[in-house]
Amino acid sequence: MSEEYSLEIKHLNKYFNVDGKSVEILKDINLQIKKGEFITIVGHSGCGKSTLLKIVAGLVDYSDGEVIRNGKPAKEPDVDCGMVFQEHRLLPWLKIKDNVGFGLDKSDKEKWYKTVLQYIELVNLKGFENAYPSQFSGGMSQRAAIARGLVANPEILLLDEPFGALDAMTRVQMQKELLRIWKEEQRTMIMVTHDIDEAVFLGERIIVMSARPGEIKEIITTDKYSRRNRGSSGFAAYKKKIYDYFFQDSAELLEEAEFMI
Amino acid sequence: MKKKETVKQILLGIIPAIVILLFWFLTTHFTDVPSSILPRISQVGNKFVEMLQNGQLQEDLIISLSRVIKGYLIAAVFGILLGSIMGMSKTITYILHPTLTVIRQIPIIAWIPLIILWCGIGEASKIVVIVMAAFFPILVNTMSGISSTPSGFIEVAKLYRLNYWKTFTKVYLPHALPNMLVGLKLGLGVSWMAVVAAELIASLSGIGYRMSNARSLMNSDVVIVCMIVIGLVGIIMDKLLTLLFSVLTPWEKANKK
Amino acid sequence: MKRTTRILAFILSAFMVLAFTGCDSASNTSESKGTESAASTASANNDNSESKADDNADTTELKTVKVGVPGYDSNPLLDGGRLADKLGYFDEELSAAGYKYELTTFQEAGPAINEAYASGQLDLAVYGDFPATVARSNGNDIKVIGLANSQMNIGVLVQNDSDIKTPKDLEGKKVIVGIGTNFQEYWSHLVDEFDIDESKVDIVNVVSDAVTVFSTGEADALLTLYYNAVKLENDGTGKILIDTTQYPEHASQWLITGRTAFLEENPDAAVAFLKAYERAQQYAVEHPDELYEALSSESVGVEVYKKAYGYDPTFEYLKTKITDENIEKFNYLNNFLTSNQLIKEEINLDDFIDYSYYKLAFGE
Repeated sequence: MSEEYSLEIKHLNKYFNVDGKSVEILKDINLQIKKGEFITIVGHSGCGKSTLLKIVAGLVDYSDGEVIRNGKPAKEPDVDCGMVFQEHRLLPWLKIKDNVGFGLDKSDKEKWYKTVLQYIELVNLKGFENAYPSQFSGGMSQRAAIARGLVANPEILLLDEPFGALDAMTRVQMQKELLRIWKEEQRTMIMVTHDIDEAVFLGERIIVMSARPGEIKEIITTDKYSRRNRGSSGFAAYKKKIYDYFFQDSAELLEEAEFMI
Repeated sequence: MKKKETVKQILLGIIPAIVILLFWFLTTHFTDVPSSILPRISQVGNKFVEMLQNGQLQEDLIISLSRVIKGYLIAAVFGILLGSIMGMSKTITYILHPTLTVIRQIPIIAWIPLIILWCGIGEASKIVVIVMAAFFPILVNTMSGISSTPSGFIEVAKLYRLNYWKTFTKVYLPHALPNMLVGLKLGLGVSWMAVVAAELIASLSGIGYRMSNARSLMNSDVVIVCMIVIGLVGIIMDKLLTLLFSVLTPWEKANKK
Repeated sequence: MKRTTRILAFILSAFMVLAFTGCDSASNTSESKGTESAASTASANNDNSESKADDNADTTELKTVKVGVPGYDSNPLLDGGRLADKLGYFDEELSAAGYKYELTTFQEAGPAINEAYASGQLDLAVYGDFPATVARSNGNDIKVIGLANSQMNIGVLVQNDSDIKTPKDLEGKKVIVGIGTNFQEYWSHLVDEFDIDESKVDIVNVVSDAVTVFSTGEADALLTLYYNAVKLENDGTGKILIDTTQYPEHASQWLITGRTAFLEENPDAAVAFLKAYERAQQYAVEHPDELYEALSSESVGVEVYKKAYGYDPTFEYLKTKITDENIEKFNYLNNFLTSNQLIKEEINLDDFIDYSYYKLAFGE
């Protein structure tokens, strides 16, 4: 429980009950994330990475192990941890300012509004505070969602495939935006993605997970230069490393399937 | 631009009315349809003026209107309340839904003897008839609106540690508002139909009574005046409801664009 | 593939909808009865009208006479006509004249019959003087050709534990009077006869659910047809305070009416109909039990009709002839309806009552 860690996970196991049978979703997850780190988690769909994120957020409970978030056990959601989902999940009946300020303490109206505007500006949506989500594009909505996630000044921001629903060009744009915001706000960012490019571009460390059960295969530490330059050989090398794990995973899955037939 | 659209809308909406009036005129002037069943438009017009002048029409209308409003409001409160509870709880839905569905199919007329037994022959029984009619569309549509709230929104509420009540008012309820409006409009229309049935129970006043009484005396002009009045009042109330909801749901306008 | 399936599904559902709606026509009629049941009992008769029926056995040649009557399912209020029907008299008389009859029972009684008359859906109707007069005054060209019952008795039923001894005691009480029906007229008779202060009586206007309202104790008294009052008294639902067997001038009349146009074109049918009724009346005098039997149904038993109809074993009241006494009642009704603004102005009784068919039938 060191001060320098925002997140410590020790021997985390998670089982789900499916049709009476116990299915192991996460197996022996061990993780230590320092304050201000940008971590990406990459893996096949169904490898439990979203579940892992929800456990950290306190939305889902866990079976064994310890999850210590900002020095406290992660039993339930709290202001110290914000989250952004794949669907922007902005409430359609609230204006953008009310969406962004949704979880924020409203006892001091003026302060609330000032903070809200500040974060709206941070995500480059200045001037749109009175718009409704239906009037926004996908990228704009996600930006608002990110603002909502950050507005309460959490130590950690969790992002569950936030750009998965966006088109390729917007995605790249948003990755750059996120990077900028991270640099400005200096929060711990933990992002789940199935986009390998994205994982390499953003992750100071990349956690590669396998499926069924979800386990950490490897944690790849990347260098800044390679990350920032998508055309570099370093970038390509990291990518290849991750791809190899995927193919291995796929091969294993194929084997398993053949065995069952 | 907007004004032109509204004018166009109104003009288009009047077309069926004009067709009906034309048809009515032609049948009563050029065929031998009995006037004791379908009187001429002029006869109905005169009768309307007569009923207005002797004040009977206004009196009857106010009496029936108060019954409709009372019954409707009670139905709305119960419908929204129960609809919300059932929409949020699967268990309660399992318990109540089958019985309610059976009751819903039974025509109101069949309930009247029981209603007389339990509620007497005064105002209460008439209002109960209206409540029974209006309740179901409101319940069903509220349920639908509440239960279709995306789980993603509920998760957001959970993330921000909203308690049960706050989750209801800030997430479920606003989401269900458009559906609730549909239910409330349907319930309103049914209320007017029900008031006629209700006023068959020991009534000596009200527009439903007036209509039934006129029918047995073959005063077809009175019957048609009552029909038209009910229809017009009904559409006014419907429009008011729509207006109310457009105030309650300002984001819907943004959605339309 | 998908498109054709959709089209087929649409056609199938449209067909189902049409099939269901096409089945039933008038919403307030319960049944149409043909000559089948009459034919089955015709064999009970041994007189020579039977051979006449055989001569005209070719039913496709017979014209249909559409007859309407109020009532519920197995209880059409035909009075003596029920006996005529059971004995096959309608069948015999009508088929001899080249007709067969089709009976329709109207749950909504008078008003529904008037509407059916107005739209030309009935040729003859046997129903109350009140709705018949209302129909006439609204321009329905119908005529009264005879009486089905000159003493359609009405009674006042009160609660078993009631302290009401005379009609005057109804002041301060709740009385069920069906507005727009002959019970309203009877109430008027009671008010006149017993000097009742109407402003002190709480009139409860129920028609269809009158008995329900009374049985729940919501009202103190109920005005209803006498035979119904007898039934309710037998069932223990209430006790009879007063009835028109003691005050015959207060009773309503049940009329045999016909659409003028139909009557003029088919006088034989009218005559046949009257003859059937008259024969039934004669038969009832000799065999009263069969009359009670014919009138009875699952819900109202023989003992009720024995009391309700047996108070006059001559059954004079079932004769079809219209006498001066009957005209008095017509006058009272005419006046009552006008002064209570139920009709605009008094009808012309000479135009309304037509003795010619009775003359044709019986020569008087």
